[in-house]
Amino acid sequence: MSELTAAPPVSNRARPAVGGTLVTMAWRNLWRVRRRTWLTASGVGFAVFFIVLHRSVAAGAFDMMIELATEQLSGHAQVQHAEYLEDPRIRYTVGGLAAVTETLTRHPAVVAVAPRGMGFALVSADAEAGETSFGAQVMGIDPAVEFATLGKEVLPGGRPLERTGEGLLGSVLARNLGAEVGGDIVVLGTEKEGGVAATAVTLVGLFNSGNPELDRSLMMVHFDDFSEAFGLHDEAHTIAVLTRDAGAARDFAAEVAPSLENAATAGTPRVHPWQEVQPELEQFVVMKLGGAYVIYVILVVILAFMVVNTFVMTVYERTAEFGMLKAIGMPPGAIFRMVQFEGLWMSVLGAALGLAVAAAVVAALSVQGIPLAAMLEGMEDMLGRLSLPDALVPVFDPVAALVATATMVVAVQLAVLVPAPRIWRLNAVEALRDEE
Amino acid sequence: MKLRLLVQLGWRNLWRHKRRNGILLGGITFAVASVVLANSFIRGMQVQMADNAVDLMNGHVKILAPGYLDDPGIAQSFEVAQDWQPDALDGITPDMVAGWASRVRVPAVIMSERETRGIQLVGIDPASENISFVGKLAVEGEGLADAADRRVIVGAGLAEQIETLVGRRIVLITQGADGRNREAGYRVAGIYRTDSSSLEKIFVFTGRDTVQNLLETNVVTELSVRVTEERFGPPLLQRLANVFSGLDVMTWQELDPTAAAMTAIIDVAILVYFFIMMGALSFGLVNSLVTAVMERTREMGMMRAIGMRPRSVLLQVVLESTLIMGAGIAGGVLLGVLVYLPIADGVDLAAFDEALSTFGLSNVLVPQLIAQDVILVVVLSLILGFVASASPAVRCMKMGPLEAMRR
Repeated sequence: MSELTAAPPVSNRARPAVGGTLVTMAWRNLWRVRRRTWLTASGVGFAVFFIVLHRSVAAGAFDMMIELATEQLSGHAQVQHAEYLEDPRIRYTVGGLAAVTETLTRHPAVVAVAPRGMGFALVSADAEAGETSFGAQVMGIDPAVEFATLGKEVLPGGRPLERTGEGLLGSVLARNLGAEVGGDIVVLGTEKEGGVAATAVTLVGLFNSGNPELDRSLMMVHFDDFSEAFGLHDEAHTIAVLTRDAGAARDFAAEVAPSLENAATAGTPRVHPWQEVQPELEQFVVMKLGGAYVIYVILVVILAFMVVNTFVMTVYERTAEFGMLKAIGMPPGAIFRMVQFEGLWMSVLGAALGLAVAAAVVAALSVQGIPLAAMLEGMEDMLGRLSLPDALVPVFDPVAALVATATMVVAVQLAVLVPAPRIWRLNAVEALRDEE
Repeated sequence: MKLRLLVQLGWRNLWRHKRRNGILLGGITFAVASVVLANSFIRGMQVQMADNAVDLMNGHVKILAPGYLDDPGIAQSFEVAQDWQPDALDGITPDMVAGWASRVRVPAVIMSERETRGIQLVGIDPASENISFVGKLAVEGEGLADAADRRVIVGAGLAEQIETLVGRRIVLITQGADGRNREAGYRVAGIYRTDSSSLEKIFVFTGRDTVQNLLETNVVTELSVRVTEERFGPPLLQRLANVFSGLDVMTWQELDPTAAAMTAIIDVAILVYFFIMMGALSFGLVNSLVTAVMERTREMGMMRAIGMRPRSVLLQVVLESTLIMGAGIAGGVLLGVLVYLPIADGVDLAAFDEALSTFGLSNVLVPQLIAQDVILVVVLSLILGFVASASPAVRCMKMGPLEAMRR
């Protein structure tokens, strides 16, 4: 109490405490109860750490998943007949293939444009009657411009498609047909106008996509052979486009669609971003991220409870102190702002802590990558199905870092509001008496 | 007597700081309720995934001819006696077996007047298909009457693609064991709908005898057995492997490794989520307990001075932590259950239709509140509360009575 006896002369109206002073006071106040500050800040840091780490790993995983899945076959956008996606019939083609391809190629974001024909046919390993035949999807591709990774990598003993008169088979389909590289494959289907589509190609390779469906049912032939057999003239069922950014596929599709109206003949084509071609891929990502958001929110709410608790303790313990501040003329608003700054310092400290640890962990993990293949031993099959790489390299997600930090700062400021009314209600005299 | 006194002291101490402990209690309650609910959803997903994998004509145990998985054709087949019964096996009682079904499943081509598609033709005995999704199909028109039914039912997705309707005729082409193609015309009895759009495009069903007649054979390609409880699977597998030596006797996990892997991952995920949420909670718990101990240093010093043993002081702090944790856990479990009850019948997730079906889930997710999970949460939370109180307790134990009272 000795400090009070030497009270400085006070003017009638208290000068409002300067913001800078409050900030400094708040910072010093934090260190009066070190342990509590560290514990609360660590709690905030824990939430920031978890959210940033999770986003860095998951976002990296999903980006990679989307890249791998779209590059395998679909590309980032597909130009198709307006009806084809819903009802893939052989007669729903995009006409004016050359003009459409040229228009697409001129777009600055386009990396590759690949025409494809798709038809259903019975394929058999030999022309002679009595041989086994299987139903298959026959896909015509142009190896000169095709970007799909499917079919680029073939099993040992074969090679990818290079010219007309050649064909590729899914590994299981080939096994079922009893087909061997070097042998002939006969394709028998229905051409565009309803006639018989027939062709025979030499099997040059087998592919193993990791997707049992594709391996069991897909055959690839040269686009020219396909056009001839199935009766296509300057047309294709799908014109697949690979762009620079899978994330911008929707915008890209909307942007190029009008320019194709003139190029294409026989009806206006539709441009589908990959999200429409492979809805399950996007939904899976959305569902996973959505589930994660629920966890984030729960985490932030738990932390908010803890911060509220900390500040309730702080404010109640310091009743006498606040009473004194009030007595020497500090307005309750300033006291409240000081406590707010304490919260701000606390959350910034915690977030910095969380970010530092998250950055360190991400950096450590990215040296080798997270060895998914080794972790999921015996489930490698699933990596293929989910289009995940063998090793996952996390990338620090700055957006997540910013959002997580901002969220925690706001949550802490809201939590500080809970004990705030007490600061206003405080009666200086009674509060001072509170000190034992 | 001593312990009762300590519990009483602890309980009263908690009430000295109603607000602080109330907030802490709120935090614990919220965290425990969140974990309980999150677990019930994740479990629901897991149960559904496993159920669907079993439902997808796998059964818990399935018998196949060697090589069928590589080349699913009639050439890879076996014979089953008409009156074969799995519960006649040694050590298998009828109440362990939910049902069994033999089928002829072969790849085929379906042709309507307009379109041709590759499909899986499945010859079934409708009476025994209550063990798979086939028995639960919503069929427009008529279902199959018996194993000799000469009509087919097709999925709505396929019917749309090949432009066929109930009552129309379609042609099925499939390959016999001799490699020769057989074809025959059939009438569409009904069109079925499922939660999964992809299933509808793959499977076409008809009577088992019908497919056997078409292929001029009396063999089947698969025999699935469903048990009433998962734990009866392994003993059944054993017995079946003995009886059907020379054939592949497989579990659903082997037949659907993706579903099995996802199911296994979920067991780990439940623990991970628990530790993340409770980890966040523990910061607050330690914080409150430390404060509670620190502000009572003097009081505890006095207790020590009047003869309370250090051990008892320690015990008291631990008791206080356990009491509030216990109350929070009870409240949390109660809250979790209260929220769970109105959604116990399932939550509609139609927006994620395709992604769900890719992973063998249907649109309605039914959360599963399992006593075992709740007990796990309760036990782990109590341990956490115990651990969280250790550091403050040790701290106050170390302090001598004089030193403590001087502060």
